[in-house]
Amino acid sequence: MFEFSTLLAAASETLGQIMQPVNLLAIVGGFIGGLFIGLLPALGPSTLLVMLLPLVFKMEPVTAMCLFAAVMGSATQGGAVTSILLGIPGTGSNVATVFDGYPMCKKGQAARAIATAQVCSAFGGLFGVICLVLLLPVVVMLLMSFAAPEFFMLIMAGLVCIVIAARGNMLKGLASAAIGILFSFIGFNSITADIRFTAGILYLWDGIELIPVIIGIFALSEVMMLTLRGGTVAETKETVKGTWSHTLEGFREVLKHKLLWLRSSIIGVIIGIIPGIGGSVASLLSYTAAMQTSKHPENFGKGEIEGVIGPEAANNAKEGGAVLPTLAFGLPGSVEMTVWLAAFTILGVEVGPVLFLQKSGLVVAMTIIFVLAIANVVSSAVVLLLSRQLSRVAYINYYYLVPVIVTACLVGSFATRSEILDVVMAVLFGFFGYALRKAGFPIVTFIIGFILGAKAEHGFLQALMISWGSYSIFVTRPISLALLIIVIFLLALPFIRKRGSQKRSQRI
Amino acid sequence: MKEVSVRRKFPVFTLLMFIFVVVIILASLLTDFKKTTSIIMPLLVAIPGALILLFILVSETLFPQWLKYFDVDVLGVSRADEVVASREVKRQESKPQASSRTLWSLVIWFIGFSLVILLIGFHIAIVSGTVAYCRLFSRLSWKKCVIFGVAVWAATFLSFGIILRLELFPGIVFGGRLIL
Repeated sequence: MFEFSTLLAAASETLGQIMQPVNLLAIVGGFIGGLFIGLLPALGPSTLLVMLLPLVFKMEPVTAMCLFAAVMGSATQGGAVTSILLGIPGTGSNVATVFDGYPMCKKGQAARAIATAQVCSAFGGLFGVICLVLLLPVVVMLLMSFAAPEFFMLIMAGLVCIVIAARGNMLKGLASAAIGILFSFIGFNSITADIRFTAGILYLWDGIELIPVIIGIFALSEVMMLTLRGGTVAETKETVKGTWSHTLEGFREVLKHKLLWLRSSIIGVIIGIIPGIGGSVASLLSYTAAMQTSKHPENFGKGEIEGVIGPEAANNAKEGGAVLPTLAFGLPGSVEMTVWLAAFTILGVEVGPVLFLQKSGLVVAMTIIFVLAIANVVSSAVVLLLSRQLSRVAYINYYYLVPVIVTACLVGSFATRSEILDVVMAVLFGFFGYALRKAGFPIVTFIIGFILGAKAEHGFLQALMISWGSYSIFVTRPISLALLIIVIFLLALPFIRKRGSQKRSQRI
Repeated sequence: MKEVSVRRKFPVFTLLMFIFVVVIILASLLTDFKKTTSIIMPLLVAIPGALILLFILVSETLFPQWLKYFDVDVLGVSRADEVVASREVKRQESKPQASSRTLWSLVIWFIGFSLVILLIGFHIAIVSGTVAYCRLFSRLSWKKCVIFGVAVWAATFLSFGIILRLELFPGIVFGGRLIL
């Protein structure tokens, strides 16, 4: 039985582990890397996490989680700086901060905007982590009643949720997920002992390795886009005038708008929990909500402080929420969590209820919670102190970055198992990822399909074994049936909404 | 503004994906697997996948309005997206658009870089690949390109070769093994 006291015992052990020199070093490294990548517009934390993925092989699970959580905790803070000072979002999560942050900078209130953003981010991040701690035991209790049919249905529900939550074309999302799932079927099947779809190529017998696929799809296709765009993102420097009084004013602003901060943080956590939705959605939704509830909506877009508080509180609170479905169900809450899921696979950490039944698993979960909280607060303080110096990172020419990223990615794909064909595979998936992006197929659904495809098949075949081959098992068990209904409802939801809005517009 | 070929949608890519899915269906049906359960999930995914891709293919080539019906925005953030997009357009307008020549240079660079790694190994490939990239896509001088190339190699060798104790692939020419 999972109890709160178990969680507390694991928490005290985790604190002891985090204090070990190697883990502290990982936190500092991840923290610096996260801040740096956050400051580079167009390169999100997912690119850095992908580059770090091959290093995970040589690490203990706690060390790896220290590194990853530190990257995640600090990246959005860095992104806020370029959003406010340069008008360019450092990460997708900071996209709405630009709308009012940049006009504030032009008015000479950059220090006030940055201070407000950082205080909001730190408290928003902590709020997300607290929600994660409170919700985790409840979700784990629920998970205890899950068996193979429920897990299969849960994966299906998660995939459909990701498809409809990702804006764009639903059919392309479904097709992309299907292709990802089919790629995961290539190679040896552990249940049926069959080797499938390898075309006689020995390299494919073990299946397509996860790391080259992730490196290719996320990192290499990203640098291809970057090269084609070229140059530096930031071209002109804005004059930044800020004083310490502005900074203190930023603190006061958050206290003055505490309800807005709380509402935005809650939006962030909820968006984080829904699988597959990125920080940009959390940021945009909370910005819209802030505008709708503001007493001065006419000031939005002209340098309104509420337009900074809303998105910045939400984008950091989202991280805590996004960890929840990843740890509890194995369904990534965001693009970055997809890379985390790959790291868990590499480390041999099984997510889901098993994670919380073992002490080592609980320690991994608690490490993520603690380091996310620490990184959020520390990076906010660092950014407050060094914002002007840090913003210079955005002026680095991408022509210098691309060879470094490509080299690290290709050596990284080789490093995982010293297999040179993994390098070729990474490049091929880089082209594939680029083509997916260009043709409007979401890469997130592809990669999640690829990661979860084999698990889904495992659950499906196990369920059939339990029921002696009867498919009725998926509809006779209440939770499985409920999940099936959710899948059908989710698929119908966009059309229901469309019909609703059409009727409304006809009435008007 | 002149529309470049890079920005065009690729029905060819959709066609390739459709062919892949059809190949999976045929392989599932025609291959003699030990257990029939091996093909249940592939068929359950591939058949609807093929139908969806066929629909996308037909829509993209003949009836684009069909595909638009499936554009979803459940969370209602498309309005905010439009604002972002309009800002993005303003920012991009001042920049030169990537030509198809740049795209092909990039493709050739990637293929060349991987081939050099395969043939003569990481050590030489990293330096030559970086120099080639700098010369192709930036206006750096040869001297700066070579210095940068050596720096990238040194950083890679330090982090992977020395700290992680990884033996970098020496290349097929220098005794590296390739198992297909």
